[in-house]
Amino acid sequence: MSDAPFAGKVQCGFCGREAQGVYFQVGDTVSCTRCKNEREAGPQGSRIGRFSKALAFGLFAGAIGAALWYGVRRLTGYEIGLIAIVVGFLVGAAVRFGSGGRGGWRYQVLAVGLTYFSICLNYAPDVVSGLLNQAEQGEAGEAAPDGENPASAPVPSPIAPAPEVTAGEEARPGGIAGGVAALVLFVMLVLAISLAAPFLGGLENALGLLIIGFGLWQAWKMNAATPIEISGPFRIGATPAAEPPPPPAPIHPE
Amino acid sequence: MTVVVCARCRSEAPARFHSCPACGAPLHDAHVAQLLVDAQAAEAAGDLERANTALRDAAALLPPQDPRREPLGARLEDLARRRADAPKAADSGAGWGAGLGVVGVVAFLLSKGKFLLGGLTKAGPLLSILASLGVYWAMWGWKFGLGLIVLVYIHELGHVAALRRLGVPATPPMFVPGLGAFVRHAPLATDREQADVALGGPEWGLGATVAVGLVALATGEPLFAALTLWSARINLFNLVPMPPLDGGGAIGVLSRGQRFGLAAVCAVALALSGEGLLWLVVLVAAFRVLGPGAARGDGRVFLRYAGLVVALSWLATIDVPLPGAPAR
Repeated sequence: MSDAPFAGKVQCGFCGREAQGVYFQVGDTVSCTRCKNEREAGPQGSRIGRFSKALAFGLFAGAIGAALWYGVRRLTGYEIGLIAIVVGFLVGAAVRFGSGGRGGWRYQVLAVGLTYFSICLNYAPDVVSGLLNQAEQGEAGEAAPDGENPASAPVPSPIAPAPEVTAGEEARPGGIAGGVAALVLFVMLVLAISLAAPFLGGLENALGLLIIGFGLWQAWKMNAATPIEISGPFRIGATPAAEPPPPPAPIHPE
Repeated sequence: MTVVVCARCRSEAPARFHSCPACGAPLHDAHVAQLLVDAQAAEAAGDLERANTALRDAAALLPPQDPRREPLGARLEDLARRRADAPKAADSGAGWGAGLGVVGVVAFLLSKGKFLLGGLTKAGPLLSILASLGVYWAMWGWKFGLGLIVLVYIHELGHVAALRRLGVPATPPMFVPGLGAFVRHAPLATDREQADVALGGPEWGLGATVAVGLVALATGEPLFAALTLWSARINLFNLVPMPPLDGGGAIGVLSRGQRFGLAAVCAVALALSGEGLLWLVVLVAAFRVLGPGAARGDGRVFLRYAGLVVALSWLATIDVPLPGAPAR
């Protein structure tokens, strides 16, 4: 048995390589010298590139967040406030990752905007079905004789039913363009109503606004510009001759 | 920053590390050994509080997966039992046995009032309660709002009671309007303690729900019926097995088989009750089956957890008229 101390290895938490001689602590991660220097120098690349990456990651996370909130709402029948914080966390983390951990007011605004968009997007399916119902009621109202169905007054529908094109009948010029335009208009209307939805309830939705606020706050604080805490260097292995390690302390008193 | 040197490989490490990043050896064994000696001396002197503190300090220095945590947890559990028995022995002549009249009630309030109403004597927690009450009042009226606050407060007291039993310092309940409430506390020594503290809340919550339900039955007052339903739902939601919810604190001690069993119990409760919140419990519990479960599991925690799910899902689906109750 050798008296030499156990020769340990420290694996860098960023690149996975073995740290040589010394290691550092960067935030909560053990780091090799090279990765520490990279973090110290800050993220590389252009500002626009970083922002675009943060936007892309944030959008992706926002879509997942919207699907999550909608899924939980439909599955359980409850609108659970804690999900807003989960959405804020997802989007905040994605923007933080996309920006290379840079943080700052631009990324905070981006994260908050995307979180709000994501939370509101979960109402889009309800808005769509509401508009479609309204359109159907409008048609039924038009078809019904005067004096019938007074509750469903015809309302202008953003989506007109596509005219049937029968064999031998040529599609009118601009028919496809008109359909695309109607679709774009419909999507814009759905988005506008969804984005305004939290405020449409007025003060009666104070609790809902408060809950959304928690989600936005989560995304905001995750992208604050905080300096990276670096400590070290810490030596790996022995320089002086080591004594044999003592046995672990027993828990039960003898 | 304080730096420690590993006794095994002589590498340096920040003092807040539990184990050496180079060789994995525990870094604070000398300090742990000293704390264990202190705990033993305190126990011998009959100072159970000091012994408890020393053992908890030792636990805080051990790496998370250190095998010594288990015997340490057993010692802490034994201490908690002895600490709980100590006041009973001292009070045996002057407690409730002394009489159930006015004196008895005053004695009870003096001894327990500080614990029950501790959250109302500090500005922060009291303001948080008032803020929540304001929001709920605006939404659903003061009666339902106040009832909800009291029920959530009792749930939180369940956590505080479990922490007190273990001798772990805790803050009074802090309320967050729209989200609920929380209690801050010092780190716990083992997963078992974590589970005990986590399930303490829903257990007290179940007690409060049953009590309000009985009041609803006795009075026929729809307000109490609504509070019964919402208390059951709030406590059931807290059993979703993911952090930071109570279920997330309890599931860590369950083995993979027990997690599967829990998911199955929840699925049956869902099928029988149709309570939508159980979807979350079932899906997350099923997901947690995939993760690494505790090596041995804990049958008692499993039964408590499953029992809570069954009881609360039944209470959450009692068919009563709910005038004035909030929409889901």
